[in-house]
Amino acid sequence: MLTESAHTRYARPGGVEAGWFLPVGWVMVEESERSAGGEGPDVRFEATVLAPDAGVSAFAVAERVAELDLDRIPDPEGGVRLLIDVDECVALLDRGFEVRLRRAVPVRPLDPQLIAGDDEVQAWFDERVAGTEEGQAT
Amino acid sequence: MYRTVAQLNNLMGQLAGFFPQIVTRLRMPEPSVEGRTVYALRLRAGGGGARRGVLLVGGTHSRELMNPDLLVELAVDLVVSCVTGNDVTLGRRTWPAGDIKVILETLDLYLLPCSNPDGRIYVMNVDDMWRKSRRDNPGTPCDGVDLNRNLDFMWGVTQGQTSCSPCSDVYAGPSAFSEPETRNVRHLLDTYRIDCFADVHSYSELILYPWGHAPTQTTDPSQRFTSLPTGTCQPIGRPHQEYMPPQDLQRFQTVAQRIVDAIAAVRGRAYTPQSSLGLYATTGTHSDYAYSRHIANPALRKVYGYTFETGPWMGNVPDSFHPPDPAPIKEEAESGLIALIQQCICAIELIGARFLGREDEVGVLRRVRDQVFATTPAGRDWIALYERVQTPLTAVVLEDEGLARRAADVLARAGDVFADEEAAVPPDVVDEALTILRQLEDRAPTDEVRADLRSLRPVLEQAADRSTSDIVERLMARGPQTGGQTAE
Repeated sequence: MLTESAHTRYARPGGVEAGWFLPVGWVMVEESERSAGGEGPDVRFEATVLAPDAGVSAFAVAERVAELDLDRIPDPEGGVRLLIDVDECVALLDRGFEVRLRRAVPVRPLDPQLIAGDDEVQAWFDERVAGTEEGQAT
Repeated sequence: MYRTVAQLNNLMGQLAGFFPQIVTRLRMPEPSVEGRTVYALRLRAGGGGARRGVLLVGGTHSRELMNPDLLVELAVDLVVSCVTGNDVTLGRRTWPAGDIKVILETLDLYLLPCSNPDGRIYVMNVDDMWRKSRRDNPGTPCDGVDLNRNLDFMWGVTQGQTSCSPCSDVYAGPSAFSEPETRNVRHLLDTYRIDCFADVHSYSELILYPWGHAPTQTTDPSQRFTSLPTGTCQPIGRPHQEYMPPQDLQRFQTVAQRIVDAIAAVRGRAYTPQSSLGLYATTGTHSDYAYSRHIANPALRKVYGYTFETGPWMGNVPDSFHPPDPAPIKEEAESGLIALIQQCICAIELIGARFLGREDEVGVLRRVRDQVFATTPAGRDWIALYERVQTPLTAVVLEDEGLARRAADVLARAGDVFADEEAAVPPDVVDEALTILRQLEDRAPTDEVRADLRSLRPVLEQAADRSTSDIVERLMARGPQTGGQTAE
């Protein structure tokens, strides 16, 4: 059995309004893990950025983009890839960059299916320590 | 699948409860900005003090979800292997139980799996792309500090991906170490002996080492970060290439390559070792801070700081930060972390401390290595050879107490001789060293180690009655060559 502090409650993963009544898929969370939502944008965009003039290197583009303090993420092709909201996209366009929106990335919680259940976590630990005795050491 | 903060904390508690002789769950001195307790683990088996230490940090960036799970899994695997004597098998790479035992019996390992619990909770419940902490930034509608910009290394210099704007995802915070989450990391570095460090991030399959703020150069010691202004909210603003002693750069590169090799051995993924700047320019990062401490304050110990960027590009950003199946990535990263930990063992220091109970002779040999050998390419090749063979041979030596004591005796006598550069090496010391070398060759675990040991033989055979200065001069001019010869 998982045991934790008095703050521990059980909630369905992935929702701000996590259910307190459904037994399936419940996981161990702290009461305070059920955070309130933020006030940011509803959607961001994964975008790649190019300079308007041909022949400008990715390095030079990156230096100019850095002035905008944006959320730069590694780009598999060595270019400049960003996670931006609409206002940031506009700022890039205003500065003359060519912005290619690759996909929308909605602001939402982690897919609940990606969050481990308590039983699964405990089973993993039990399996790993199988064959040892509590308190055993070399 | 990703574990909640409560599940991670619970696993750490269970591990400490199950194996109290090896595992201690440490409560960090400061809770997170939202008041959550932050835990670390200390792993050590056997007795003895004054050990070298390794600190691994995960969860700094909230959305990089794999790494807190990875560090807890690493802790469980190491401890269970040490207790059961079973190897740690990660894909196609097997770490022998003997190697794991040596790690836990010779080092102190500190793991801070989830340094930013508030952020992880926010990612799971509100915004799966959240990067920063959950600090409220007064007077702005924006929350959060980028914890990997908040440390006291070039803090507030907005080189590249660093910002003084509270709304930026790379906001450095209102001052260096303004955040409890980073102060907890500093606490571990200040409180315990730490020699090797890694901050584990995602993604892009990189093993990064300093520097992140400027290009690295090894020829002009006058170009140091200590001469640059900080807190300016401006880029450096003039040409600057940061100095790093060549032996340190070699060490970073050598160890990074070992990490990359250990990762590739799991399922063939090719991580790239490079300086942090190669990703993009940054200031205030964990790994640069860890390494810079001894430069900013020479009274502090040198810490070799790395950043792991685990996992590949998965075709889109969310899947790259939290892949649907992180298990293979965690396996290979765990192998890389074990390689890093293993590289932190210093065989000579260990044998000196354990069997001589003093550091005098070891200190002489260390000075010869760092202040003499490290100054030429051939000398650095000898250091690289030593670093290649020391880990596999440590396990061999520690399994045979008689051999270990004889090795310690030779070590002590060599230290005495090398303390006087005009002293001649006594023939009986050379004979004993050759005997030990033959025994090590017989028991070496791989052909590569045997080949490295064979390249030492001609050096030893010619060492009797020669002055130490003559021997050092020859070694610094001619590097090792496997096959029994030395190269010009």
